[in-house]
Amino acid sequence: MILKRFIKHKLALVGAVVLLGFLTTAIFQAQIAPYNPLGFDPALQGQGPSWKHPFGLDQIGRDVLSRVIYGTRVDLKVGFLATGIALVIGTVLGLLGGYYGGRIDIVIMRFIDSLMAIPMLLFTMLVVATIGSNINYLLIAIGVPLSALFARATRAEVLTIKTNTYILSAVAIGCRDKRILIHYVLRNAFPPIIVLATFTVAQAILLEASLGFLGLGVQPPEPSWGSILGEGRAYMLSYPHIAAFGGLVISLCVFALNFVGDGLRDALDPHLRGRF
Amino acid sequence: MTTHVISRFFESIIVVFLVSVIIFSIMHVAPGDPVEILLGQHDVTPERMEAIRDKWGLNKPLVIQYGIWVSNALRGDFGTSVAYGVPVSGLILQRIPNTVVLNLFAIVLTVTIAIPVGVISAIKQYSIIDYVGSTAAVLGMSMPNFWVAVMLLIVFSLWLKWLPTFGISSWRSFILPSISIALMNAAVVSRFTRSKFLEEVHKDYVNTARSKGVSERTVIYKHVFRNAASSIVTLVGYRIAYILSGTIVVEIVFAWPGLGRLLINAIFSRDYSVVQGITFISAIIIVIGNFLTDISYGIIDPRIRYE
Repeated sequence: MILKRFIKHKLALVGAVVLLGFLTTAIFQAQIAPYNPLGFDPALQGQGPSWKHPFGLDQIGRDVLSRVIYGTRVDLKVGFLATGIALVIGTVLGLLGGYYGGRIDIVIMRFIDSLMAIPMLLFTMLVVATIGSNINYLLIAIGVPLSALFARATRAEVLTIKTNTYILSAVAIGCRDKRILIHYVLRNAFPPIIVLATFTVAQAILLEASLGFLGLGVQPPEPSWGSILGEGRAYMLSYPHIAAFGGLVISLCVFALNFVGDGLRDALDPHLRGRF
Repeated sequence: MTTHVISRFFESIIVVFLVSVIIFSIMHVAPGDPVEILLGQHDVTPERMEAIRDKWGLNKPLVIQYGIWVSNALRGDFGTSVAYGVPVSGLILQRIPNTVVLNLFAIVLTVTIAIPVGVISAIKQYSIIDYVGSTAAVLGMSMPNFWVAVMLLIVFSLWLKWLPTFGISSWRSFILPSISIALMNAAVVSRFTRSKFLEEVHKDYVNTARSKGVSERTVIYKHVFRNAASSIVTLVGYRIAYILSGTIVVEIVFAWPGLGRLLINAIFSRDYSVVQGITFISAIIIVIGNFLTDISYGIIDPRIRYE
């Protein structure tokens, strides 16, 4: 049923296919990439797109397409893992706050408000400036501020679920809180959380790209979509193709994720339409 | 209403307090001596190092250090920039106007694009306009704003030579940066406007108005619009945080002499106090923005009553 509704949403299906393409690229990067992403040929530096090098070459003569292919794994990793961190922290906070209410809820909500008051990019930049841009720190720096979104969405969901009779009856027959929270509340709150997660992966990838563009993301020479743009930043006017193709790939991936999110939202729960 | 304003005010104060705790703890969670973080790689005399230690109470317990830091910060003292050798607050004040003006341009642009597009796509649901508008909105949300900025710069400044490239020279310098910032926000706002409108259009009072013989124009602009307006205003208010975030990167592309560039230079010259100061001030701006949004929500929509 859910799958049928998802397939009916044509753009979502296209998005899913594109996303699958990105996943395959990330897994088989070594087989797919035509050149070594780190190998360079100074004679060809900054050359525009050609049949041999469809995305052209960068400022020191590396194949941009191969670098973009190798960057896919890094970016999907950042997108999915940072979202995973955000989902776990946020959902737990939202469940506790929404279900128990009272003081716990107030404390959690003010904490969430304050996380949301710091612009996400500024938060990640502050963390990276303090402890450095190792990929693990990067995941935390992106995941923690994004968790605020999950906490809010989960809490709102829990507040409506809580009023249902099946929760009351579960309480009445003496179920433990843990069981109620996991089996009854979380299960029913899950569809919107999954939809939000899809959009969050897109946001995390955009954040990585912004950081990389500023030179604060995954450190060169290892390519990530952000760092390809960042390294090309100084040359963006002389070799516009580096930035053009790098950004195009990011947009395509985020575009696909957004459509998959749209489709999932409509497929999982048609009532959610327009809520995100 | 008054009690609501007062309670929201206290909530905002608590949020500012928590933000200060978060910003303060990030520096102390990091391994290493805070003095070294504050100084970056800048060489200073041992006496100066002692002076910094003294000023921020770095030999004292954490709670006291926090007290010193936050009381200085609330008085506008974020310390001295190690790169420029002048107070951080002065540097920030000098750059704030450029960023604020750019943001205002971007907000005005966002609203003037997004609301008409959202309204028209809702009224003419499933029409060509709706289809194009909705697809454009998803596209707008997917493109990194700095990439849009780079592409606009290449096309309009480099190839066509219609608009200036870097810095601020005249009002025309504002065009490309504000478009780059506005695009993603306009996408979000127009999608939201569309869905809010669709929600309202199918409500009973709209049918009642129509059956009374009220003209379609009045139905849309007087009835539906007023009912949808409050949530749209709220969304735009809350977008301030995102707009500020977006400005940072776009400022870099256009070499805009604003907060974003000050921030990036500070990060690369390991000028920690400047980074801290900008983060704290932006958070305060956002808290104030959210507070005003919440209050105006109650004023715009008289149905909302607070106990």
